[in-house]
Amino acid sequence: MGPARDAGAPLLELRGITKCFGRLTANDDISLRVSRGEVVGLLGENGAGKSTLMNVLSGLIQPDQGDISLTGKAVSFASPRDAVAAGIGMVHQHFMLVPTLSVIENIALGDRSLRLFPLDLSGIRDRLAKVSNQVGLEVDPDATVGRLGIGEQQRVEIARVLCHDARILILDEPTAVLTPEESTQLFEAVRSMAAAGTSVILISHKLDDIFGICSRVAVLRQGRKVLDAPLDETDRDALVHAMVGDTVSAPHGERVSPPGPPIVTVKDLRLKRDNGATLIDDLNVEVRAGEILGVAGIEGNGQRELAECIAGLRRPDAGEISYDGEPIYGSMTPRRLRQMGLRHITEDRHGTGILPDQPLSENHLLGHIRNPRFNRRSWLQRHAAKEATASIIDQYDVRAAGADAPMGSLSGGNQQKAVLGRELADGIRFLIAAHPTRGLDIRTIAFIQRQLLELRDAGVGILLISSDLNEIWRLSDTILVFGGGNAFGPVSAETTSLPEVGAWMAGHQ
Amino acid sequence: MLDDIFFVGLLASTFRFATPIMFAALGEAVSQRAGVLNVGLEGIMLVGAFLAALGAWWTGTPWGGLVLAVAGGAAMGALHAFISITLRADQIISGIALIVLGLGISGYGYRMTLGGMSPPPSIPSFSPMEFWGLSDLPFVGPIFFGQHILVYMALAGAVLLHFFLYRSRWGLDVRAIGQSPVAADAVGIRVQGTRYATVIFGGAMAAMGGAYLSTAQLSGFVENMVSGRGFIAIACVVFGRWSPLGAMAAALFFGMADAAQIRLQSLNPDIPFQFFVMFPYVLAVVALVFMAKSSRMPAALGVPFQPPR
Repeated sequence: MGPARDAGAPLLELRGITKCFGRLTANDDISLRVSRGEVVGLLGENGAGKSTLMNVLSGLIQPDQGDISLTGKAVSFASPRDAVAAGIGMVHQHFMLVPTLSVIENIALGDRSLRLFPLDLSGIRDRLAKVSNQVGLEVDPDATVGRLGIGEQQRVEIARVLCHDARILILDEPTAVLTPEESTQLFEAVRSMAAAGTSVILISHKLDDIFGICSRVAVLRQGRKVLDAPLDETDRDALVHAMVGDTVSAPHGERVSPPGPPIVTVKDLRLKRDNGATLIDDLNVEVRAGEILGVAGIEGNGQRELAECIAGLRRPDAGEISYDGEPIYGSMTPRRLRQMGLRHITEDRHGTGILPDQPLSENHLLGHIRNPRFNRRSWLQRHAAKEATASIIDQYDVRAAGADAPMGSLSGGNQQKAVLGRELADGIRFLIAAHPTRGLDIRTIAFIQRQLLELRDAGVGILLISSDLNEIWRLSDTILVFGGGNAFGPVSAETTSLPEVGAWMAGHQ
Repeated sequence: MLDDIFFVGLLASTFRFATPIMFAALGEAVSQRAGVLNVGLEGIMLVGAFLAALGAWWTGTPWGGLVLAVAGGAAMGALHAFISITLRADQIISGIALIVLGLGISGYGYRMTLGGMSPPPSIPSFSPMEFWGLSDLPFVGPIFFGQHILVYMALAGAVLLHFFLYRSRWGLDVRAIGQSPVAADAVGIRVQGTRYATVIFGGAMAAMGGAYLSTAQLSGFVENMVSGRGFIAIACVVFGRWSPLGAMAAALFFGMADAAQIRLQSLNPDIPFQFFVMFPYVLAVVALVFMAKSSRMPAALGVPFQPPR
């Protein structure tokens, strides 16, 4: 590696990196050093600035201030190509692969050393075989990437970076999409890479990942570096504290007032899959005002279908659902249900919850478009929409550049808070919350859970669907379990136990 | 024997009718593969046809006309590229503007120059190739050896573009850019620059198709002489599943439909000829209905790319 063997200088050094997006400071004076063969963990909540920092390092975005040096020499990356040429390889959370191309074509993509014509991939093929052997990443070079599973696609990404002689590998939330076995395999591979002298920066918000393979950890919070220490000089509590800042109070289920009359009543409900197989048979349940009904279970056992039926979006195969005593099917439309106070946090935020390209203020109008505040004789009241959005941004602590920022520019947690603010506004009486905290960081999870409990205390009926059993257990008054083609319960949270619910989830009586 | 003459004539004119469409479709296939839709082929072909006639008259050779046409087509391609790639405007709207612009430039330009001369100037044009008398061979002769050189250039172009797309590094870049520009950008491929190159190339190819009309099929320019071939070329790209050889085959198919309808017209004088003229266009609509939802469509087609910097 030539001059890279300079003993004193670290392999990589970032100094004073600052990057702003509008009013939001995503990176504020961050410095970081990485030595050869070191595995550094970069820890932080969603929106703490990890991805921004790594995008700066991989040449995707330019910092406003600060500089980068490699083996003591200042470098600047005008484009990803410069960063790749300098030996920095990034494996993005959302893979940067072309699904219609083969594995080997994806690896060859952007390699300027290849002959123009005829394209000869045999050199890359050899390198891929060597790299796969070295770190134990097996991939079929001729498979079409779009047909591979997520774990395999990630292996392709890593293999590609290694084939391009990366000295520094950046992994962005690599375990978020992996099964436990795949994560173990990945950690094995990272260890052998580090042993071979490659430095690795592991971005994560999971402590297990950090303690699994890192030798040093840096913690970001709200765009600043708040901790940087060898792993053996710190512990879980210190890291959590650094990540979250002031302590997050755990939500508590103490109720203030007894539940009121039922809002939603489900009678003899039968649901079928799209292919005709029965999902749920003879379900009878009601959700009262000021009560949280938690629906637990592995996903795909009918939870989504139940939510859609109650929201007026799907006709049940048999049985009846009523809202305020009126049958939903026959007389009610989703619009009328909304007017009667039904709100829905959908499980697929990107698909059905937000319009990523539209500004926050227009996203806020979804479902409120008939509200006379925003709609005077069919004329859109943009100013009112912006004001309402601004107050949501304040009230729900949404980190955004402003009401005009496109929804897609926000991190997942902030998008969810904006959705929550929208759904809770103006006359909520019943909330369907489908996986409201999935994929979010600790602080946002606690915030959303607290909001749900406050709603309950204010007399709102809530149907909470979650695959996080702890969440169900902490928040619910009544628990319903969907498992193995059956529905168990509903039972009062006071008369059951966590192991019992867990057994039901697995389909055991 | 009448049948033989009929089919030889049909097949020979299939190549003749297919060639202008093929040029335009090949260029469009490459630019769509890179993710840029150009519905303005019709306008570019018109400008190409006009400039070819003008250049041929000026220089005294159809080759001079071809060079001028290619330059004009490339310029119109560059305009579309600037609007849709740099300004990120809607590609369909920019394309429609090109159609209107092409109609205007070619019609006005023609009246200002060649159209205003009396007597009308004679335009030098390509003559059919002579392969050492091979064109006198029975049956295959007129079909394969008696065509204009532009016919062979179009067919060779299809094969060359096939190798370009699937066997060269640039072709790999192009395929990646049209499918996933973000991924291509992340590995350092110049997305915008490559798109520019393909759109300019597409413009030049469409203009060659136009040049064929005015300096090979006919000797001279007639207003609106492209008469919808630019749209058929777009259908050919879809029908040919965004591959050069597929686009070639589709162009031949439409060429044959056009050749057949002319013959059917003369065989059925009782039926209004407009029905036969419609035939290729009806085929195009049917083809699009069946092929439009193809999974081969480049995922980023028509979507402007915003580099994340």
